[in-house]
Amino acid sequence: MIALQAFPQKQGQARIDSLLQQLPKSKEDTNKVKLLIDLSYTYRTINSDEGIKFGMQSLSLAGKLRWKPGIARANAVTGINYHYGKADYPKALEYYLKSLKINEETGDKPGIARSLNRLGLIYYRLSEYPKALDYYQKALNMARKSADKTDLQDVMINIGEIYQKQDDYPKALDYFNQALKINQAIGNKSGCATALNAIGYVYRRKKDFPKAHQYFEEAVKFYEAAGNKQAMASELEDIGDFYRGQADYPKALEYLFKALKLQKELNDKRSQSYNYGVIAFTYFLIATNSNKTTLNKMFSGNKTAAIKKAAIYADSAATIQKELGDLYLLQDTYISISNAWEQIGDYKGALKYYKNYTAIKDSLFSLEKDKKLTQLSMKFEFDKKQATDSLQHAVENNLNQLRLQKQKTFTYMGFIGMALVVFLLFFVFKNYNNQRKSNLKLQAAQKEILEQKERAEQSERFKQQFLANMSHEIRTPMNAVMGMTNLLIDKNPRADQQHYLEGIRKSSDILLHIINDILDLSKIESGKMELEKIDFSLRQTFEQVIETLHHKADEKGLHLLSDIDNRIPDVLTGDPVRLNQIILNLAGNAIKFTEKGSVHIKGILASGDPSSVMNIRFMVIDTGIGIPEDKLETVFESFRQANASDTRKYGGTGLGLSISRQLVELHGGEIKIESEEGAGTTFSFALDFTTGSAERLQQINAQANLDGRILNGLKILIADDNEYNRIVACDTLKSKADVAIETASNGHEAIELLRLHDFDLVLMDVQMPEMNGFEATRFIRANLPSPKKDIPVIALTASVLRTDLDKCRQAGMNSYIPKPFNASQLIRGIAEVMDIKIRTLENTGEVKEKGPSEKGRVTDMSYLKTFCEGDGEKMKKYIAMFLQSAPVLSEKVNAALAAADFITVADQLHGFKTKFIMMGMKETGNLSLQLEQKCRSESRPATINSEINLLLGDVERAIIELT
Amino acid sequence: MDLDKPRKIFIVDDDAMLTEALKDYLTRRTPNDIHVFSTGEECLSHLSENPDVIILDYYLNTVQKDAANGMEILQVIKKHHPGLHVIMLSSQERYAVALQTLQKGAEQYVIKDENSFAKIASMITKHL
Repeated sequence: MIALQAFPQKQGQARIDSLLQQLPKSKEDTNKVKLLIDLSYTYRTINSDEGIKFGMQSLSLAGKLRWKPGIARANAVTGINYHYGKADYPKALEYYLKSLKINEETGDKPGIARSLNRLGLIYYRLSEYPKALDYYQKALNMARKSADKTDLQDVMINIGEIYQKQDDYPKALDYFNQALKINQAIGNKSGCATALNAIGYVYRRKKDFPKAHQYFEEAVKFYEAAGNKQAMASELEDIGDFYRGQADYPKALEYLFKALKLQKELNDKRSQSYNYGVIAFTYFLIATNSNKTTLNKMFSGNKTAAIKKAAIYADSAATIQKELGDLYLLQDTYISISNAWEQIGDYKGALKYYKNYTAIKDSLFSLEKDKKLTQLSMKFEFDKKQATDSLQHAVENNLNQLRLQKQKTFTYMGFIGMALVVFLLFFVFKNYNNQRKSNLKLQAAQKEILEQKERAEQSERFKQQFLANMSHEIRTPMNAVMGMTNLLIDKNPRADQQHYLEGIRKSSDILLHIINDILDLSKIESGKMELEKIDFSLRQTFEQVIETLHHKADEKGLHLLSDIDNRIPDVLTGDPVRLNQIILNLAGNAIKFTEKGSVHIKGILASGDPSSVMNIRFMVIDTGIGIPEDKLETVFESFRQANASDTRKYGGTGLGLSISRQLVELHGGEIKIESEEGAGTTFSFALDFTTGSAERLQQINAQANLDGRILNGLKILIADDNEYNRIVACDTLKSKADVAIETASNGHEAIELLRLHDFDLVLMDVQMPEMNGFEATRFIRANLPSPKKDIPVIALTASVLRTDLDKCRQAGMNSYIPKPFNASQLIRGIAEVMDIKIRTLENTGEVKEKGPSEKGRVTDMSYLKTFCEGDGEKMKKYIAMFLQSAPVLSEKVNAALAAADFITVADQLHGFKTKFIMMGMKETGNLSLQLEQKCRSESRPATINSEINLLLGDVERAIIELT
Repeated sequence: MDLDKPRKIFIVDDDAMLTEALKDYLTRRTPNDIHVFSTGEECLSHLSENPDVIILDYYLNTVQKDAANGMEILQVIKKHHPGLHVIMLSSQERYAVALQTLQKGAEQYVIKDENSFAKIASMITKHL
């Protein structure tokens, strides 16, 4: 098979002479590089040392010129010399890779294709078929993009050959036929011939000899038409081989002599010697074949005459081989001739050739040994290079393991003495075969792994999609349930109604929590969970946890305690939502499994200091039932609790601890458990934080308790297909602000309303029938007259996937509000888009009224009324006391604040507790207590001043209300 | 228990609103003889009047910085009148403080909130 069509030496030498003459005359440097490359290429089969020399020269000149295409080609041609001339594959690989890199840099697609193809050829040579195939496929993709189809057909032939090697004939034929078609289309006769020849080979291997012959003959015709005598001779030889295989010796000889004639014309000595040998072998077969037909026909049955003929041709072969110094072939030829003489009883002749044979064999023995050792060490080096190569894929890992095994074998072999060389060779041969087999096995395994991977990925995609859908489907009705419940609670229900409504609210909170847990887990597992880095107050985080859990603790009569190391600054940078989730899960779990005693949450500065990174250790200590030692690990598994019966007894999804652990690990920490059965459990973990900025925290804090009245006067269009969600959005807004609202149930309606009326803003549900929110927004942006087309649009979406949120932006929406939303989220979202300054409600509670007090008031006289048993005079007395002391408080606190005297602030606040209680200012009282503690603490949050001002604002309002 | 038996009650707190309200509350329910002091020292100087119960604020030195705090006053009272009932008042729920006051001899520990007046009244009627 013709992998590389060697230049006949005569032609090659002529070309070299011509190139050498042109070289000094060349004025342009790039042209010089081209000539050098051409020289190197021409030398590759004649004298690869010279080829490498010129390759290097071209490389150095192109390098000086910084001419990248030249450098790429120079590298390639040097590689080719190492590849075909020296069979030094590691070196060839090195140059090919350099060439590939530069071609990639310059974006030379045909160059890239050729480089990849050559890399494939190297691996093909090394029988590393999967790797070769990989490069060929890449080359194929690249070559397809190129206008010149020569490279494409070349790669196809190479791919076909790999499949043929693996006896995958249909695939091989497919590629060869494709190559043939391309060559026919571009009129590449030589290429047609190569493809035809390749197809012929496949049929030959399939033992479809008539078909094989037909293709071979076709191939010869194309070589002839192409004027490629070298290839034509080779093809004729192939046909001769083919007939010899079929024992049609006269036909075989006919083709072999035709080939010989061409080879003589071309002065191609090497091919001649080989052909002489084949002719000799054919005569020998005629003499010895049990079927005497040909012997009878050609030699009248004279076996000796036939063998003598064989000996003559063998002698001709030997003469040329001696001339060329090709000892390997000569060795074969001598032993063949010796055998031949022996056959006919000419023992003298036999002995003479046998002596020649052994002489060569001896010299070859040491030569062989050296060469094999060189080859082995080369292979070792090569494999070493491979081993350090990419280890990306599991499949490649397997391959590398195989190689490493080989390495060991080879290293071992390197130390064995000369005496074992023959044995070694045998071993190498076996290994080579095994390698081929294992490569095939590996390929099958690779295929299977890829399929499995594909299946797994698909199922992961389905899972993601399912979760996203589920999240959306559940969140949409949840929005209605939670929103309407909140609306009802705000409407002063009767005590029993209030009780039921609280039940609904708590239950839906839990349900939402579970959905979020499941989504979080899947996000963490798919690596999509990202941690935030924002400023937050650790004390607030602890307070939130306590606030969330204290009812549960109270119900069981447990003490829920929290402690934060004074050295920890109040504002940290990190992910408060996730930290809260971790601590809440651990503490919630602790309460669940503790019947009496306490649950204690602690934060301790374990190492570091506030000026740099702090390692804070969190502990959740309970006095509960404890966890058996053998169950310590399983408590973290998803859906598991220490005992199966616990699920019935304690409830819960069993996801909390698993999520906590994964979140801690995502932070780079580790959860530890210490537990004594019956005595209690301590969960602890340590995370790194840095000190945060108080100003930024203040901005974040402004999120809560927003004053809806900032939206007063806005005209808002709400588009949502779900009637209940329309009501929730509409009534939530109306309960907080004086806004005008119109509603639409799909995109069309929304657009119609927009055309007819003027609005300030659209709240747009994303999923609606007929025309969804994206489509409607795109339509508004594209088709409505200015300024209506620029109306702010806020998406209302139940999706939590980033891709969906990106879609909102792409459709031209200004922002989005996730469902289910609360009043503050809605107000904030609108205010941001409308560029309205956010204002916090000064009494720190949302405008949520309980009992008879009026909306927006900070004072509530109901307590005082009860306390004084309706005695108006007494009430007046207390109010007067308050009005007398309150301005003093404000004054003193302000003075103390100005002097940064927080102890005085704390003392002043302390004295007001009862006053706030008496005036029904419960929220203000609680705030006062918190602030008093903060003021006394050494690590005061930087936001303390603004928090105190908030409280003083309440006092001012109370004075106004009571005056 | 004789609910109508008049008791001498000392209230020690620097918050006038509290003392006034507590005095109001207790007077309304039972015929008590209530004396109000804004500092502990003042209270100590009247100990010879043999009060039945002293309602003592824990933080006594918020207004007058150099005044003794409730803890110090409690210790003095208990040193000289170990049998005298003392109800400690505090605005903060802190177990450590509660424990400390009880160890030093206070009978009760009451947190200032909406219910503290009722609690104090019930303690006085039940236990004294």
